[in-house]
Amino acid sequence: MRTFCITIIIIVFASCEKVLFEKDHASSDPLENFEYLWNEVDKKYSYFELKKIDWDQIKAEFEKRARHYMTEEQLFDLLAEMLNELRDDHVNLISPFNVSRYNLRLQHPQNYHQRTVEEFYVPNGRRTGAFIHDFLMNDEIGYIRYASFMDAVDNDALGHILNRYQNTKGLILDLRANGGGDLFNIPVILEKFAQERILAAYSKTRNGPGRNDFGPQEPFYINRNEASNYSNPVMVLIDRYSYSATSFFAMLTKAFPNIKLIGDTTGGGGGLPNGGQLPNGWTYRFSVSQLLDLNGNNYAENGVPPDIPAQFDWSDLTTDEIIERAIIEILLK
Amino acid sequence: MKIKSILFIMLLISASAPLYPQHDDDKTTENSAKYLMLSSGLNNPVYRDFATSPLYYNGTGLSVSAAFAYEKGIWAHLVELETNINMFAANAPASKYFQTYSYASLFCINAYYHCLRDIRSAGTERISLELGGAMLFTQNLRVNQNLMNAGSGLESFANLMAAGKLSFDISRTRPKTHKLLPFLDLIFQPVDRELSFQANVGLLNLNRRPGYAYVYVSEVDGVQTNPVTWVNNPYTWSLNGWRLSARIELSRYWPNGNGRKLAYHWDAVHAPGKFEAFQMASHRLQYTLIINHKRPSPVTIKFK
Repeated sequence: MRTFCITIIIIVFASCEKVLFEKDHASSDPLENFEYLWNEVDKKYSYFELKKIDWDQIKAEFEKRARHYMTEEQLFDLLAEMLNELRDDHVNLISPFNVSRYNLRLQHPQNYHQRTVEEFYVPNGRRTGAFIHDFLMNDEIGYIRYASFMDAVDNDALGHILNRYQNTKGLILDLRANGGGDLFNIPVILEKFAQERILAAYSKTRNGPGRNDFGPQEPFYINRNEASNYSNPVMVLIDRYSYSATSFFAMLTKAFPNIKLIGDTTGGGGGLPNGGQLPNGWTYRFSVSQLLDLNGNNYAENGVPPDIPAQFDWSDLTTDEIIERAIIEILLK
Repeated sequence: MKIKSILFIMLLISASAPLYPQHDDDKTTENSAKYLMLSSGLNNPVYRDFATSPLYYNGTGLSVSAAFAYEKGIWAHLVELETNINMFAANAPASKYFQTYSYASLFCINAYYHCLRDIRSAGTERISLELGGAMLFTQNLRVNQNLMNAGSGLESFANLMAAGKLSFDISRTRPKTHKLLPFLDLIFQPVDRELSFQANVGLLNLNRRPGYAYVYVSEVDGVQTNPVTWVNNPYTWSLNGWRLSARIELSRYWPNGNGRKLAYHWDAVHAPGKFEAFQMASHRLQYTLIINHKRPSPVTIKFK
């Protein structure tokens, strides 16, 4: 009898939270998933105003096409098309069978050819941590390639590299085709080029249901690294494939008097993307913050423009015009 | 924020102070007992974080805990530190194409204290009723890589609770014989046993949940910016929601005062926060070794 009573009590408690909590919202119904995704974006997306997006109009347009009997692929295509109206490569819908993306970079010319750089500029480039680097122009210039902010920057490794190029006239930091990654790598690099503590940018994050509701502007400071520092000119190479953390990096360099951006406008991606899940288990992400320059200008999402525009000439793959332009800029100083 | 935290701590301290009635009962000279309890158990938790997903995540995990129980007269105190680690899978609908699963992990720390008073007027020789207060603090660290930048979740819950415990003395006082076979008797020796049921109801429920957007770009100050601070910044305390917990424990004591315990713990928390709710419940089956600290030591150290 005692065992029976204990068993009954345990069973009662084991199912108790099902009564206390709200109902299970798991659903594969296309309309429920459509509504859920639209609402999440509506509540938290950060660039409606900047991009002049009428999200209500978009709902009205796409809702007409949503049906209860849609297949999973049809639903995916519909939601992906709706999200692409945000024109933002930080916006993705991820299902087991496909990942949606806007592909802004494909609307612009490519300005980086890896083979050209490796064959004609740094054929014996050293690999140190996340970087490939070597001297150019009879040791007068140092070239450093950083391919992805996903690769952690080791402070000592970068210090070692900069020590090697300490006596050069200038550095080329190649961030073309760097699709972004971890924001915490940015200050590790930039502090090596800061001659003093620099207030470099601001960011602000959605904090309310109104589409222009944002929290306070948060400053982004770069401190000076005393142990390893490089004070000569630095040319940062960028293109439309420089996205997210790389756009962030490019925006911050605007506050550095010894750094110039050369190449094409970055791809954008100034907002920090979040992450979430739909009632059917698919996941999504979209931007929830904005990056602002020191004057409060909000252009990073559409791309950070170069100080010196330059284009890669695809008719001659033996020369990288953007590196050549950077070399001229350093040697002319 | 700091003022709120200080007020909260003061409130917990003041509310948890036992209110000693003016009865002579309290000046009891009854023996005291001290127990150290070491436990391990299996967990079956479920959670849902509406800020990132409407889906339930069901999991399994392991739990270990250490507790110290102190009983003196009509008062019983229990201090317990428990930690558990769990793996979860999202309870997503089946796909008509092919099924993939979202996995998450949860590391959880619970700090618990209760102070119960034996209400003798409501008890009998074999049944006792204890009433009092309890405090429970929980810190969650969740990781779900499918949620990308929102993949890590930190929740804190602090609860001041009313607690009630009903205990039944189910000891076998005389040997009991069962005839197993005509030539074989099974003799059950006297044993000291207790079955107890405890329920706690949250009276003051605080929770700490992320800010509106869940992820947040806070101030970045050089490379010294602490990533933990960076993650923590948008998290805020709220006084809302509820928490319920219950324990069913079957204890058995040996003649030397030590014992063991088989327990079932249930805990459910609903934390609306300021923006979107977090809900979690867990079922835990736990085995405990009870070590009696009251036994007289064979060695006495005396300072002159």
